[in-house]
Amino acid sequence: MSIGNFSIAFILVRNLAIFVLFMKNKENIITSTSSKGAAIFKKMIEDKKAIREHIQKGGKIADIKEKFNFVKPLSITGK
Amino acid sequence: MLSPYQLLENDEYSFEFITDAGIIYKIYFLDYSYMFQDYQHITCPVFSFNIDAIEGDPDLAPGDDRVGATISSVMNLFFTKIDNVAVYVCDSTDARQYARKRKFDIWFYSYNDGSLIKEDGLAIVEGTAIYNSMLLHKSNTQLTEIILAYKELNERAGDK
Repeated sequence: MSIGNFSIAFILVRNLAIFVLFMKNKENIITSTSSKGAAIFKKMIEDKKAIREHIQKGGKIADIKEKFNFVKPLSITGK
Repeated sequence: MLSPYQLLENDEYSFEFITDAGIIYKIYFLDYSYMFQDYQHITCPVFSFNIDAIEGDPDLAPGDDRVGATISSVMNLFFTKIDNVAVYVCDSTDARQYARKRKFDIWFYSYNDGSLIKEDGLAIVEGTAIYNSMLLHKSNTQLTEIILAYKELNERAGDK
């Protein structure tokens, strides 16, 4: 391989590495602008976390039913 | 088709099922009908769908396709009311949200008989990306309006 070919190969590999790093970072870009529905998605995550922690500590849903809007929108008995 | 696990109703607010490996899952719904409160023409009930392993560690148990079949049976019952809307958010508190999204996607594409539509979103909340999905019946009377509103809630100012 001539020096010229080696240089071209080196530049290509380097650019590829830069591109891969760029794409990887792009997925993790942290932005200060939140989505329009951020408040509701945040509430969903917080509710989910609080309920899971309560249950995993052995708590009953009945104990926290006033704090969250639990519903049963389906019936397994067909009623 | 795999048979779903038997659903248990141990209280008025949730369902449970126990897998062959002894993992106990709890399924519950929360009412978030106010999600689309800024879109006054949308009147469909909106619920968050939640499933948690409350006993045992699913990551240590062998793969179990009956879990997906059970979720599918719950969703089939849920969508007997055609205008119901379900939203699933992938918990990001332990940085495993993408694994949760992938599991949910696999379940959906394995069991959807074509009657459900899944709309995926990626909301940015205080710098954190939250994967979320909305399920609705393809015959939902407000299908287009709901999908457009949902996309808008995931957008940030300046998107498009």
